[in-house]
Amino acid sequence: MRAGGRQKPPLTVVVLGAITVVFLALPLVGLLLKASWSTLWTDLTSPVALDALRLSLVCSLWATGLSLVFGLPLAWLLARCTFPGKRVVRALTILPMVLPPVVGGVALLLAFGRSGILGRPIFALTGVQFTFATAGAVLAETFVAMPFLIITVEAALLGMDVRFEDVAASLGAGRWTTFRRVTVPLISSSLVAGAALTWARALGEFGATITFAGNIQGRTQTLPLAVYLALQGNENVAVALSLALVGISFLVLVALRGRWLGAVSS
Amino acid sequence: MTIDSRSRPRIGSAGLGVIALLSALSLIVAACSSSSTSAPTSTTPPLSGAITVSAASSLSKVFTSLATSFEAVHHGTSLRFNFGSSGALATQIVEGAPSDVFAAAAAAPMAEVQAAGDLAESPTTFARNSLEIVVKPGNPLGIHGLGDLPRVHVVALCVLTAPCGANAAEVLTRARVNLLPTGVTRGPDVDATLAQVTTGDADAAIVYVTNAATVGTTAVGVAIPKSQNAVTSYPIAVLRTTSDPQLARAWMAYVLGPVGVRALLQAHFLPPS
Repeated sequence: MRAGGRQKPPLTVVVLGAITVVFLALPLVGLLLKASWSTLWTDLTSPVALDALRLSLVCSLWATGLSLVFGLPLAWLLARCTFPGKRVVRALTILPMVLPPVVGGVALLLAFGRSGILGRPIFALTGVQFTFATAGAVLAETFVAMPFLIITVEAALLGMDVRFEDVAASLGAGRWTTFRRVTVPLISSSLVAGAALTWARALGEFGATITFAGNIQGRTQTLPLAVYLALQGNENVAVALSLALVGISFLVLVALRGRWLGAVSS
Repeated sequence: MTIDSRSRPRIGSAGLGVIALLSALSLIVAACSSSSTSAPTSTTPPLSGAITVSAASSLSKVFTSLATSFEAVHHGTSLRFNFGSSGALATQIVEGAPSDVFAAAAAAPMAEVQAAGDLAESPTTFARNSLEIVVKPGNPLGIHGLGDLPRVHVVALCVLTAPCGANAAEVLTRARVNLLPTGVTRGPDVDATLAQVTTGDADAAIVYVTNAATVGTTAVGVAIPKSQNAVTSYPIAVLRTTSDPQLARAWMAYVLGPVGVRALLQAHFLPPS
């Protein structure tokens, strides 16, 4: 795997790589230049900003947790089992990635809205309403972000050497023990990478959230929604909030990469 | 106050026709006496090319249908639209987004663009609009006016930076109605706000009369009395950076002309003055 590590990389590859870095970094530099640093603290500590910040963290963490609980079993099924309609299920899990989020929001309304397929009986029986509630924002973020976890973990499960699992089983380990002590450690870097991607996607979610859960301060108005609204009137606040959003995710992703993926690749 | 989707108090269609005719006549007279351009006559060189029109989302239906007839009259021309909240559009234009004509749902966003020196000429008012409440079909919560809104679970309003949001705030203040922040969801523009009632779970929304006229069976309008209502004017202007001033002016003249006036009145806009 590391045989070519000492080789000098081809110039074309380096140039293209550098262009990519500039392409990705330049908009962020633009944000940094646009920022009004003197008012940054007051912009970030306004009630609207603090509400949005808190809500974004809560909702994105919930979405990541739910994706792990419900996405991991599906990823395992897709990687390890054969069942009728598997291709359809696999396509279905990726669909939210290609669906425009606003359309995803409308689709969620049809399913979980107060008069939706499942939303109506739930509302009639329990009085629980997802729309205009924080639970709805979590639902929207989970819908959009979970595919990232499923495809990352499924790929890792498919790529790992199944013989380790066979050996563990032959030595008397039960299925759960094998999964916990052999499979999870072997795919841990992908699991963390998938969870990080899922979390980042959930953190930036806009379209499905505003369409399905609405835009209520302190309840469903997450950071991206607050940024979008601020952009129309108060650009300083919008840039400050965007910087907070970018800053938080950047720190977490760098930390994760160093801890989990860095050990593998560098 | 009436609660009726179809027959809400409004000028009858005959009256509408008379107004349309009068406005059309007055505009034709004005056009003949004041300017030599305008009017698609065969003597002027044929228009061609494409322009981008940034317009308030409350204009989306009228402008889209007007564009179809404009393009049919002027073969080879094509209009692209950028619909959004007037506040957001003004920001885009000032930030340098290429656009040829700007039509706003209030004076303030147009003034912002003018202050930035981005207008080719002074804006002209071409329509006015006022607000209306829309509720779920059949009005299950029995909403008869602004005073009933505080007891509703969630009311959809436009963001405060959009004219429909600013006007709704003014109307609510005037009616001394106080909505809790947790009972208000804010749509980025008037179409998104209306959709919260027609496809979403909001129980009521405050939108333009012109939006309320388009809901069909998906919602019901509840009139806001004149004494409480706010009227907004719609200014239009060609932008300084236009790539095709001739086509931009032709489109503006078309909106201000008889066809435009008729379409706007049919969509329940009020005449400019």
